Amino acid sequence: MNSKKLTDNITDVIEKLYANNYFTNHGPLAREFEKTIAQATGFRNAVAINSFEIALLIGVNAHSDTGSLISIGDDKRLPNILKLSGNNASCFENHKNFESASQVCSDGLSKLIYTSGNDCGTAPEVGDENSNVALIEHCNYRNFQYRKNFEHYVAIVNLKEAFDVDYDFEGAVLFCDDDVLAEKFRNMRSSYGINRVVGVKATCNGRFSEFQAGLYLKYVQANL
Amino acid sequence: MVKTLSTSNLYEPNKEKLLSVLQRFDGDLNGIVGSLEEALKNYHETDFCVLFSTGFWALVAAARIKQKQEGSEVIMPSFTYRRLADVAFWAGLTPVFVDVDPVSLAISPKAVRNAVSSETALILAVHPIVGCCDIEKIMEISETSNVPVIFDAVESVHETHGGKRIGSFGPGEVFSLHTSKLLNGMEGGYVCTNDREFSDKLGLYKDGALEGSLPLRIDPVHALFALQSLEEIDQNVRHNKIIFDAYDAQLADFPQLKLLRFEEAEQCAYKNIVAEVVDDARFTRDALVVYLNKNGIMARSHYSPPLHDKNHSFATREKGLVVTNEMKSKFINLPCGQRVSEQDVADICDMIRGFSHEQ
Repeated sequence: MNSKKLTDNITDVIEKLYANNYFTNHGPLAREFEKTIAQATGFRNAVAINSFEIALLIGVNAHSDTGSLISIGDDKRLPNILKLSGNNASCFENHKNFESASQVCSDGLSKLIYTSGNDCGTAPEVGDENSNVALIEHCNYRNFQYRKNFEHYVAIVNLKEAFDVDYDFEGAVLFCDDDVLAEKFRNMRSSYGINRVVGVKATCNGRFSEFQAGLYLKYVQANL
Repeated sequence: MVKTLSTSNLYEPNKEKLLSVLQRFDGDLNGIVGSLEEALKNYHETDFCVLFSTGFWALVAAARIKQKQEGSEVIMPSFTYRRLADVAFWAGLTPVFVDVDPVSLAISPKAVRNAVSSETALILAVHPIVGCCDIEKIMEISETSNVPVIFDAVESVHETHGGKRIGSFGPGEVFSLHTSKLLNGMEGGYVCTNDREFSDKLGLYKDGALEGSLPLRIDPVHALFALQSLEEIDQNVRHNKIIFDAYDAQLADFPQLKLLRFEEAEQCAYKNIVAEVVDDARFTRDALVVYLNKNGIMARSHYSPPLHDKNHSFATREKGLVVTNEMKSKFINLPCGQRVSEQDVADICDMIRGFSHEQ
């Protein structure tokens, strides 16, 4: 994006902020962003978070009953996220594909898989022994590859990647159909934008600002 | 539009000036971030300033880096920001809640000294929302006990202590750029320090380049808002002083509420309006908050509940909270900031007097 287009884009959003006269948490632009992107993707819940890493932190920690976390692929961010969350290294395993991960899952201890790649082998079908394992899939917002394979499915979309933004405009969305889990995401994010108070491991100030919402709303609307 | 009177500052930087700064940088977003860092460094008279995505994560990063490796606990007040125990959790530390001073409501140096043990990895001292904590004594305890200290100064932008600007004391002072705070960056936070090694590590931490860290960079447009807010800070404080004086005048003949006073000998932001419901008042603090909220006035119970009264999913400890327990039901935060006018203050105080008469 050239500098004039970038400046014009930012100016448009700033004009909207002042027109709304709302600068604090979970205002009209954040609400519209979440509603628009949820409708566009067909998920019951879209929870916008201020960065991909904080979204991943929330996604992993909201599954508070999980045993170990299995990663398919080699996302270097996960060990740091687990360290921040107070998990020890023995709770974390890397696997190449769903087949080898499934063997570990069948021990009954591991209930959460994270994947950020496309080459993950054959995913279980709903109804299979391992389809009740929760999956967090890092993906593009147009391609929820394993959504149909898992009863407990969360998609995490890095907005910078999804819209090919080459500046430090962070932002992410956690998508899911499970209303209880989505409420945990919202409560971990902040007290703003929640529907009700639910117990979570800890809150973490992952608020998505009105500027972030206004900017990414433009991208979403342009791609509808 | 219905006007909301809340306890947030909500300063709106001048839009035309904001857009003119944006034009001047001509798409150089890193330049905006760098300019803010430099401006804050000069403003706080500190050697280093490192920006973060939020004040919360600036606190976590500072606590992660500063803590002693051999300890596992952090000493902090209970009568403070509702999420401070969560900061300790993400910093990998067990909060040990200690008491506050009954006059300043700031973390008590005596309580800190009594709580220090071989397990103490960090002291997290917090400046209250009116006034400051006893910086010299806390730093002396840190030095003599060989336990690092950081200061949560999110409510203390613009304040001085002993004539010295908060942010210039050196060990690590953490500020917020949230809309509710004095400097409105919408979101954001920063750490001021005179310690080069600490500053370098903070820089690596916010880039996600330090072991166990995540990228926590400030959004450049949040930095733009903060930069223009800083430019206009005197105007912001002038308004806050007018509002504080209005409350002072309105409540002068109403002894049931005692306004917490700023230290006039120091430079103050006059941002927060906190009042004590005196012991022989005709109403309780909680009843007053409920009444005001029902009437559209977003007053809040001051730091309620204190952290030791909250349920946490992680371990916490507490040590001698006599003053905190005595104070926890007495104080109220009244509406303040840029959207509150002198007439609003008069209306709010009339409402409070009316409520008192009904009791």
